[in-house]
Amino acid sequence: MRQTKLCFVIDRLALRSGGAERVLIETANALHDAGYSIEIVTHEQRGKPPFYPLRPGILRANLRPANEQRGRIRRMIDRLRMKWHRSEWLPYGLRRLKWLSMHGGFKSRLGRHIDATQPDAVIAFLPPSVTALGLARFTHRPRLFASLHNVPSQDFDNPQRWDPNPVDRSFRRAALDRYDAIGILLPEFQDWFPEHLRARLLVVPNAVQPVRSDLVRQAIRDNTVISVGRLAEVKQHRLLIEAWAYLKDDFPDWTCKIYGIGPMQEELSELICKLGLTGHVSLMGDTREIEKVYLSASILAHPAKFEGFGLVITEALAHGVPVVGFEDCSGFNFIVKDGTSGLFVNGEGDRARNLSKVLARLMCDPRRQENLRAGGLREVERFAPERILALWKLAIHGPTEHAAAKFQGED
Amino acid sequence: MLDVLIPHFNDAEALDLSLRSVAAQTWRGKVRVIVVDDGSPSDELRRAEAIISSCDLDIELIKQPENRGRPATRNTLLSASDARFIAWLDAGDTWYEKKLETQFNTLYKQVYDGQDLSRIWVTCNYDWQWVGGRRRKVTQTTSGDQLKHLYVGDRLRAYLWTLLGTREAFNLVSGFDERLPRLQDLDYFISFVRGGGRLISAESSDALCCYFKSDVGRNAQEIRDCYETIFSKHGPSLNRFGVKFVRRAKAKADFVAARFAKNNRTPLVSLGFRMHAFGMDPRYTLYRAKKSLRNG
Repeated sequence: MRQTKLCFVIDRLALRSGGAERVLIETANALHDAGYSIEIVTHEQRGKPPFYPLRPGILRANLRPANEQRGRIRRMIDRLRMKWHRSEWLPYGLRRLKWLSMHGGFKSRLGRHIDATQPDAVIAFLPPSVTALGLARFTHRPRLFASLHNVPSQDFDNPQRWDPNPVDRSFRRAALDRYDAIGILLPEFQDWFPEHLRARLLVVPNAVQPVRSDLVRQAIRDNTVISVGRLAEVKQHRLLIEAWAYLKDDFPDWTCKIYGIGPMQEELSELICKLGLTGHVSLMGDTREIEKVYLSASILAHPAKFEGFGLVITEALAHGVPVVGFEDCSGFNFIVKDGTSGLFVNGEGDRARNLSKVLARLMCDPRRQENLRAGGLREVERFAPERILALWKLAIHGPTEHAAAKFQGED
Repeated sequence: MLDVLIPHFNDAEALDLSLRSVAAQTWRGKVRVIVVDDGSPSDELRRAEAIISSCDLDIELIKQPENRGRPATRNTLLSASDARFIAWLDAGDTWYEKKLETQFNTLYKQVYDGQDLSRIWVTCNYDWQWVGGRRRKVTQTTSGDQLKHLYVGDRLRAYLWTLLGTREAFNLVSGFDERLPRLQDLDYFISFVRGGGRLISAESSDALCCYFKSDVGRNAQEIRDCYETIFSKHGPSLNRFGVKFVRRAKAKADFVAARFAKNNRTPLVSLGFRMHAFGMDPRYTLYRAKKSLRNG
């Protein structure tokens, strides 16, 4: 019988295909298989199902009342509120009121729901739900775990991320004090946290789903360099396109394919035309068959500025694709070992030029690609699902002396 | 193999009645009965032990040293079971002899249809008999929105002893909520359906078991509180049916509590629940009042 009741909280999940949403669902599925009872709580307008499949038996609860169930006057007020939420109008005296209007409902409904369901542990994913859970009022006393999925300075200091209201930023930080444990993806993120929170930090990397070894062995690789990620500034696809301008003449039989969608699509498309790379570099859009893409690619170029973790990197390694990225990119330099599972690019000077040089070195050396492929498959064993599940159990139940010793030993 | 799970407290005679109905089943598969005694007084426990030892069935008796209540006992039963299939029975209720055979036929048909048995419970129609009254057949309707029907309780009722399913299906969601001294089956059914489980009806319109119903000695306020716990626990799934539906479900809960209060001779308490129901859903309360006047 399922003994331990867990409540996962995330503000939005419907049809979301992001990394954190995927980790939430994979973790919930793994814990359900391990005998836990799971409920996923959201607070969103759309009543659509999650993008990633959930195991039968996992309950979902959307705490936000549906619009059509509200009265006409209430709906009218809601529309005005939504307009205010979207606007940048934020007079000093009304900041707190705006915060309450945007997040107060989630916070109070979440508190009531926790008292009603009485879970043993509540796990909040991403800052909006970490804040809501940290500030919610409830009399029940579950273990609280905050699961963070980005560089902490981005989640807590960057005014462009999440709610730009300064009140939200201060609440985001204050809410962390209430948590029994805080999950971060990389050990280097510990430095950001104040002294009193450091003892509560737990490094829980993302799990990598194993790929059938025969598929990796028998894969027929094209002369393709791929890049996978949202078309946003932080992913620096621009650098890869510029690097390809140096490579196209020396490697006419190679192509570069960029998978993902995002706000920079038009800009990158123009850059490809401007540099005369049409037919050499392609923007492929979104795909649901990413496994096929990995199994047919030779190299993953990952020019991102920084990564919260870099699921794409671990996925590529698990599919036998060596990864090239910048040495100063967090996440990348934690997962990849230079010369073992991928190659590091010097971050100093002309980054596009540096990237092209390292890519060229690897593209003309199939034996090296093969060695890195084998090294990558060994490296990702660190992120095997059963190892990460053990860390999640530690996060849920709290460290006993024995468990803590065991995990320190493993690390 | 099938495990028949029976909670027992302080009523050896009722246990005897239930065991006889299990022994009389026409289904000839391997059956084990697990009885968990929920801390009965020693003389009643001795009587239950004597009944068990004189019964031809394969019976395992688990004794809880103290009375922990029905939901905890059911959780003990669920943990103790390791058979492929599970059926439930409460001491004092009975199965008719074709129950298991009919329900297994339905379940196997699902296998042939390629259905996933880990998400299916087979329920059946049953007879409802008030102590000293006549039997009345109750039909379980499994078509339509099962969650809605469970909240209202008119077409589909949450009674464990109507069910047959795989052990996996009964472990699809968490066990019985130990905060609910009453109605823990309703909470369990709602969780099952919310978790993607589905109830199907046995392929027989006959009643396949009998529920001997008595409200005597049951606290009406406790019943109403349990409803409230369930409504808040599953609030988001209930609220999606709209405000009117929620008020109707709450008014119906008030009427159930009022019936318990009336049958326990506390008319003022009963009136209080009816007044509350009127506040919740005046139209439904007036409809009920009109109906009871018509029925005398």
